[in-house]
Amino acid sequence: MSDILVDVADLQVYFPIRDTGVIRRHVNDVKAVDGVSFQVRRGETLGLVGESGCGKTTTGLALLRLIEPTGGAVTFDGVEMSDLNAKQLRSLRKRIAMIFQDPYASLDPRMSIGKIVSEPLEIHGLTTSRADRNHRVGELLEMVGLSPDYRNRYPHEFSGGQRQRVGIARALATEPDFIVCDEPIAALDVSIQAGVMNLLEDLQRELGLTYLFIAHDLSAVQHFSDRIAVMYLGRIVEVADRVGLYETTKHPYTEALLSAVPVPNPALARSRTRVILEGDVPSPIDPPSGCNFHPRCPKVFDRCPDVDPVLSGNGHEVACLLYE
Amino acid sequence: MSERVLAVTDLQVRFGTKRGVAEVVNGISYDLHSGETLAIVGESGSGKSVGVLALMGLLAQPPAAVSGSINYRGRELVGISPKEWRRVRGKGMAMIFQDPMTSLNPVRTVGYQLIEPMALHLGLAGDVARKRAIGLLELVGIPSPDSRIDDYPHQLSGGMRQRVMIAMGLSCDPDVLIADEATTALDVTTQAQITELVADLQHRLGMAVVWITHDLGVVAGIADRVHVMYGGRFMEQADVDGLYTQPRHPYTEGLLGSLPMPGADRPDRLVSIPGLPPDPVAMPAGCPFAPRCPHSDGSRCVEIIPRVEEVTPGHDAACHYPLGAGL
Repeated sequence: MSDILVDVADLQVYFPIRDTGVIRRHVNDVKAVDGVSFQVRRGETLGLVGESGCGKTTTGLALLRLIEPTGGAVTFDGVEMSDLNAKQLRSLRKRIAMIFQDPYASLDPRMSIGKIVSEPLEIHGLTTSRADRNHRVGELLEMVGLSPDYRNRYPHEFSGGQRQRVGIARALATEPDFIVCDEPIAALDVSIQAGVMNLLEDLQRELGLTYLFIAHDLSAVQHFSDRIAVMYLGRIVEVADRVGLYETTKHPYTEALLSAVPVPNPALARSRTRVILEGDVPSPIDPPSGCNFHPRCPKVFDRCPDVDPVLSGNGHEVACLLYE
Repeated sequence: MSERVLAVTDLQVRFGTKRGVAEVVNGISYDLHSGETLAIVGESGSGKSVGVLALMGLLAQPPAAVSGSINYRGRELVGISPKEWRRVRGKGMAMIFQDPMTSLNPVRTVGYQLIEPMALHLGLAGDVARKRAIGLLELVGIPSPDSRIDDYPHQLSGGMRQRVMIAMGLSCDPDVLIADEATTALDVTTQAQITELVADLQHRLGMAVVWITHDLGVVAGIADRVHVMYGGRFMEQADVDGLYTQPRHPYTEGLLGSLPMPGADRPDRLVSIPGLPPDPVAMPAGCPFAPRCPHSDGSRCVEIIPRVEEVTPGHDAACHYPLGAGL
């Protein structure tokens, strides 16, 4: 059994832009994910961090083939996912689950909590009788800290934190190996966030889960992940373990991102030097030439607009010409 | 830092609902001096936003009922007519809202929306107003403001839109600027740009700024004083250093413990606060935090509402058993 559970190689997701004519000619692409490669090891949490529009959510969706990738390969436990037909894909999806950002939009308001959690069990035929299914639903609800008596209630009767727990119970129903957590705490209040993060950590320890934790909040990602990949404009610019990323930051974008993270410590917040980036993230339709961060980079030099840096390094990978 | 511009005393806001009276803001008091930065921190439902909407006269009465006192430069604002409000709002006190996409008018240009308050409050029109609008856009750091002024909101990025909101807020030289979750919808790097901008403008123009936020991290570097709100009351109020280094209220301590700290060291577990915030229609009889508080004594805490009292000089808490007070 290989140590690598998920291997993503040169993943690309382009959304076509068509003109308004009758033929709807294909004129350009939004390059949401533009050549992303990373590995997730068995039992670890890989954090994927970046600002809105950098392609982190699209990467997560393409990983599950919820969006068809334009190019590249995703290998899950030795199986190349793009080779699978619908039936094979469905059976593989038992082993991969997803937790969504918005616990208000990701639960069907007309389904009871019990029904929501048992739906994956039915689809994959994992339980044999109704009694068996009821028992399993109760077990799952208990696992996420909800009372099994809640099974007949509806999502609107619950708070945001409780709904997110229902979402987690649903994800656990098929006993997956790998869970893509897409901003699972972003919509929750601070005091509730901590409870959900602790729950995810406990479940990982008990069930040996592997997580891809997608978030924009670097403090949360750092707390939660073993390794972190930083994304900018459809590409990964740096991958390192959590201590390395913080203590020996390499990429200028990661530096700026780290220095912009709000710290709940007034003395530190005032004394640290902040790298304030100029301007906005460029459009992924027509990204800048060379290194796509160069128009905003405080350390830009003559080669940056011409040469496209490659993600490289041993253990601590970076895509920046300063290190080539 | 000397001149007092705003004094809020025992401000209360109630709403009549089908289920009964919702007690959303339950007697908050604070002073604001020119040049000062005050942060009001609370989670959703704590009453922080309703508190500032009352402050700006933006609550329709009924269903809301506002009582207490809002004294702006010696003038009482509670109970004045909507017409009188219009003269105060925007001119003396201005507000920046959370979501710049929904708070800007999508069918009007940036320039139109900037000039509107100037025409109303300052009587400016034509080229004078346009020139001032361009100057404001330049002040908030929008590149090529003379062409951007004719853009519509959808042509701008989120950060740019928030800059336009700030320019609108500043258009009539207010002395109080209220930022209600003004950076929440933005990415961290843009968030940093906006907080630096507001701090810089405040320094240059000498306004008082009130940050309303749920994020204790964002205000740590910018606020002079922090008030922590829960269940429509202030739980704790102190200067920024005192609050973060020595929280006196168990709620503040819980909030700080639940934040993941950026950095290489990580605690094993975050502290999570069990339970849910109180229902404003059925407020607890005693301390609103008592049902979730690890230090609740089960008698005094659930029966008697603690008053905001000084624990150490300049550091107040509303708790029967403030932390570290040796009680």
